[in-house]
Amino acid sequence: MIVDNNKTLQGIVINPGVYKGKAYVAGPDNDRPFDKGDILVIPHSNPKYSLMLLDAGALVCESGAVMAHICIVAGEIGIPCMTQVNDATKAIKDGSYIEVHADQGEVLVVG
Amino acid sequence: MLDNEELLKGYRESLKVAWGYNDYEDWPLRISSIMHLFTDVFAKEFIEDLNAIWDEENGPQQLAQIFEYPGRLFRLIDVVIFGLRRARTPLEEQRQFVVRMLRAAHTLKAGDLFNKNGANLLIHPDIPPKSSRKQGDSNLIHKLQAALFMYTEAILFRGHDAVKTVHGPYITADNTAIVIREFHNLSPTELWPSSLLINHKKITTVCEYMTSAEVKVDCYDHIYHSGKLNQSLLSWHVTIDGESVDTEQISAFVDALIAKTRQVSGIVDEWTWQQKTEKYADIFWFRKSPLRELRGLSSKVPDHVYETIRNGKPSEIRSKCLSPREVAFLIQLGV
Repeated sequence: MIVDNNKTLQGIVINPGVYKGKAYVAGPDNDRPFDKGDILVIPHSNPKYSLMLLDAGALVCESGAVMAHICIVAGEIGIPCMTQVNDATKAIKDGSYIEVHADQGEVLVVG
Repeated sequence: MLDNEELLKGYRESLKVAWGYNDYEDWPLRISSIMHLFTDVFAKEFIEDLNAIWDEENGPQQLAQIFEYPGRLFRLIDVVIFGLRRARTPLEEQRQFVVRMLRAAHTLKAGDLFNKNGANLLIHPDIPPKSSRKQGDSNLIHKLQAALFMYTEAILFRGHDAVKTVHGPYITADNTAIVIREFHNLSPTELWPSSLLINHKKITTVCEYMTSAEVKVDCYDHIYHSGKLNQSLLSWHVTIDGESVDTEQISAFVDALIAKTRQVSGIVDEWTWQQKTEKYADIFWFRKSPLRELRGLSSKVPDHVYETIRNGKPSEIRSKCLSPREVAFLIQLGV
């Protein structure tokens, strides 16, 4: 479900926790460097993204289930992680400020 | 021991969970879209080898010895079944195969075959004594496990059951939970040049968690947890090729794993779908190589399989995600 202005996206909780920070929306067009502490927003699992996860503050995954490889890695590292957040890579702009409330299964897009 | 019907029923149930929770956006390409190019040959060889070594008395033990871990046996079943179905193998033969694999897995386990209680308990787990386990450095230990997971995915794609197993939780007298992650065959030079691989064969991590982490392991070696693993770690023990290692060695090793993962995944990302599929075939044959080699036969992919891949194309129908209903239908068809 997407709400306008301060958008709230919903998904499935993989690893609980709350984290607030800058979104890094991964994709072929994004070549800016990943900053330590960024929230990684990805379309699907890929070892390239898993490597970024080691420096990430949280993970928001658009597709993939509980056992998606990247979600397992997020669980090991212990960062808040949500999956099946529909349209996350479209609804969240690269560099925008977002809040991952994994305990509630919500991502708040502040701007 | 469960009878054949109970085994098949338990297997169907376990598949529903595993397939329902798994990822369909596979890296480096969706495996279901290319399996038709080699799994019928793969399954035919597997069944031939299995039948050649099987005798009703010692078959389960022998097969278990070859593959060592129950999760490895479980994970081979559905890919062989996929190939058998493509070859229109009679349902009774498919069922016989599933039952044999499950009976072999059963001989390795101390607990429920399908881990219905959330524990993957092996008969003789090697749990280091409390005195040899270390405390602290939870982030580093979990980073190591994450890096190992990434590395095994990079070198074996979705076939990493051949190099990875998770078992436990073993509940201790202190009411804590021990989970063991074993990463073996870590340097498969049959698949990659040695320059792309780490120099070690086996790494084992033993982690003692608070029970509040609520760790569970299913029969496919998937680990689930409701609590945070890195905040629940009480003690740990890590060995590389059988030797205990300290945090400095672990840190250096994590860096090496990350570098290798970056290198291999970067190479694979540049490949065409045919190259990725050929490597997938190599990985599948590597997965079953212990069985083939026991018979003194070559464990290499037959040349005609590569030709089929080069002349074939990915299945568009199988490139899409399956709905839960379609998954349930496929499971019924299979076994």
